[in-house]
Amino acid sequence: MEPLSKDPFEKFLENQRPSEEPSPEVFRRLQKEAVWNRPAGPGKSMLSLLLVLALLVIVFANINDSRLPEAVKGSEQMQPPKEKAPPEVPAVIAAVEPAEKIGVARLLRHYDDDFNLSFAEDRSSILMLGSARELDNI
Amino acid sequence: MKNHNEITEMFEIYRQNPEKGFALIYQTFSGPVFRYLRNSFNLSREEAEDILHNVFLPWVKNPQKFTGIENPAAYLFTSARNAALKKRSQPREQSLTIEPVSHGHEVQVEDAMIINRALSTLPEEQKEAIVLKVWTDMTFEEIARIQQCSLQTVASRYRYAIARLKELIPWNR
Repeated sequence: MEPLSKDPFEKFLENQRPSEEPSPEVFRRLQKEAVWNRPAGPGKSMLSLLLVLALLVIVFANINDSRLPEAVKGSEQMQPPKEKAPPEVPAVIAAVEPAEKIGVARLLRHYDDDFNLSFAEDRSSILMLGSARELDNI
Repeated sequence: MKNHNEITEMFEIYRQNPEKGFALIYQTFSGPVFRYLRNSFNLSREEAEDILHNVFLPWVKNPQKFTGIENPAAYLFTSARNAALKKRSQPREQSLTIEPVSHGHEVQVEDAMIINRALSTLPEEQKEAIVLKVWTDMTFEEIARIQQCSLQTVASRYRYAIARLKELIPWNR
C-alpha cells in the first residue's frame, strides 16, 4: 500500500514541513499538575480509609455499650438522691364542728315537718338499742 | 519523528519512570501533534495549545492508565483529533488565519503560504492525510486507525489530495 519511492512533489512538500512549536508554557502547566510534583499527603483513598476506620470505631463502641447489663449501666448514671421537702403542716389540723353543722342534723331540721326523725339525735334511743342487743345476747 | 523502536523504548521508560518518560514523550510528540492540530483543523495557536494540554494531562495525572496502550503515538493523535472535532463543533468567535509554516527565506515563507492556501481548499480528511503522512511520517495503517477508516480509504484520500495540491502549487519552478 505504501509507495516505494516518493514522488518529487511529495519530497517538495516534505521540505516545507512546518516548524511551529507550542509555547513552553504548556509543558510548565502540565508539570505543575503532574502526579510526581504533587505534595505528598493523604490522598483521596487514604482519607476514605480513615473515614471508614472512624465509623468502625463508633459502631464497635455502640455495640459494646448495648451489651453492658442494666445494673452497670444504671451505676454509670447514678445521681445523688434528691431530698424530699417536708410536708407542710397546716395551721389548723381540724376544726371541731358542732353537731348541728354536720349534714344529717341540718337535713333533719329541714325536713322536720314531713318526717319525724328526732330519734336520730336522741342519745337515749341509741342507748336503748344498745341495751336491746345486750338483752338478745343473754 | 523517531522510529518505531525508539518510540517503544521511550514508552518503556515512561512505564518505569513516568516523570522521565513523559519528558521524552512530550519532547517527541508535542510538536507534531500541535502542528497536526493547527494545519488539519485550522485551529488558532491558543486553541491548539489548549487541546495539546488536555491531550497530555491524563498522562501526567494517571500514568498507570497508559501502561497497556498498544500504539501510544496513534493514541495521542486520535485523542487530539477527537478533541479538535469536539472543539470545532462549538461556536467560534473568529475566523482563522493560517500562519506561515516555515520561517527563514522569503521564498520558503511564500511557498509555505501557498501550500497553506492550497491545503485549506482540501476536504478535511484529505488535509489530515497529507499532514499525517508527509509531515508526521505516519504509515497509512496508523492514519487509518486515527481516522477510523479502512486502509484503502486513507490511500485514496492521500492520492486525491496530492493530485489536487499538484494542480494548485507551482512547485516545479
